This record gives sequence, structure tokens and C-alpha cells, in this order.
Amino acid sequence: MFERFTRQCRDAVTLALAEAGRRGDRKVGTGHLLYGTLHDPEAARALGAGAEDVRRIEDRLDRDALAAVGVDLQDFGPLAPAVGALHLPLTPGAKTALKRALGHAVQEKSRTIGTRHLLSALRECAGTEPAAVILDRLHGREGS
Amino acid sequence: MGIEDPANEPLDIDPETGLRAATALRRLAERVEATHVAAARRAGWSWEQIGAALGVTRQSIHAKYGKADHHV
Repeated sequence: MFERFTRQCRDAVTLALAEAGRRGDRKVGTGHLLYGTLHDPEAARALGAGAEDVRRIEDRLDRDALAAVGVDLQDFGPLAPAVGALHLPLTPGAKTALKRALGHAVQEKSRTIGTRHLLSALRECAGTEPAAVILDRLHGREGS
Repeated sequence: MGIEDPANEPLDIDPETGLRAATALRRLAERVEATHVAAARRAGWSWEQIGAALGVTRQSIHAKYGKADHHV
């Protein structure tokens, strides 16, 4: 499947992997894929938001959740980004999203899978799937 | 902080926030580790010493942080 990815879409997956490592996650999930996808200006324009917005929302969600269990991030002082393993596996949700992206390309009779197909697949995430949680926040459906 | 069974006590945190806190703590632990592995290297610790302190092998800690070591 990956050989059919456009360069931008490959970059999105590479960036997703790096972001998962930097955040200290053990798997590459749909939130990381969304972050990677939005580096493509075309995808960012289509959604009306960029990769930095994804980071900001993720950081905010972490900070609030930690505060709820009594952990104040500020107590830790400056922290380096995490260093992930070279190869991180995909979460089940991320695998589904990539399969759906392929499905969208096939439906369009497109020979290649682009960030547009991946973004459509990520927008189909629902419930507690990370991409859905981030997109809900982006669209202000759940307050700030 | 003791280890208690909260099963009979009502939690005032919703599951979404509580589960997010669990994954956020893992991420935080990774960042604390990265920060202090770099500090230990600057202080002249060997990979052997760092691995022993973290309860992992020298090889696994070097594989994880060895590459980053060049630019810290």
C-alpha cells in the first residue's frame, strides 16, 4: 500500500512517527497522523487548521488531564522532548484510517493515495479515537 | 501516596479525563527520562550506569538514546 502513497502522504506518515516519538507515545495513532497530514498546506487549507493547532490541543488535553489527577506540569521545570524508538507500531485506529484512505483513493479511481484521502479517512474517526477528539476541539464542539 | 482500592469510592474525574491522565503520565515519564538521561551523559555517566539505574540493559538504553547523544 505504501508504494502508492504520494510524496506528501509518505511525509505525513514519517512526520507522524517522529511526533509519536517526540511526545513519548509507544504507538503511532490517528492524532499523530493528523499532525503529519496537516503539514501539507493543501490539507491544512482544506481543514482550516495546521499541525501546530494539533500540538496545542494535545498539550492542553494532557495538561488538563494531569491537573485533574493532581499533577502540575509546571512543577517539572523544563523537559526535553521524549526520544522514541526508531520503529513504532501503528495503533488499530491508525491502521483502520490508512485502510480507509486506500478505500477513498480506490473509490476515486486514483492511482495514488494522497493526504486528501488520508485526511478524509481521519475525519471519519469517531468517539474517543484521538483524531476525533482533536477535530472536535478544533471545531469548538467541546468548548476550548 | 498509598495504594488503595478506589472501587468503593466515587471518583470525581470522568473516564475520558482519567484515561487521558494515564497516557499523559506515560508521555511525561518519557520526557523526564529523556531529560535526565541527557543530564547523566553530560555528567559523565556511562550507558551501563544509566541502564542499571533505569533497570534496563546498557544496549537498550544506548539504542534508544545513543543517536540523540551526538547533539546534546
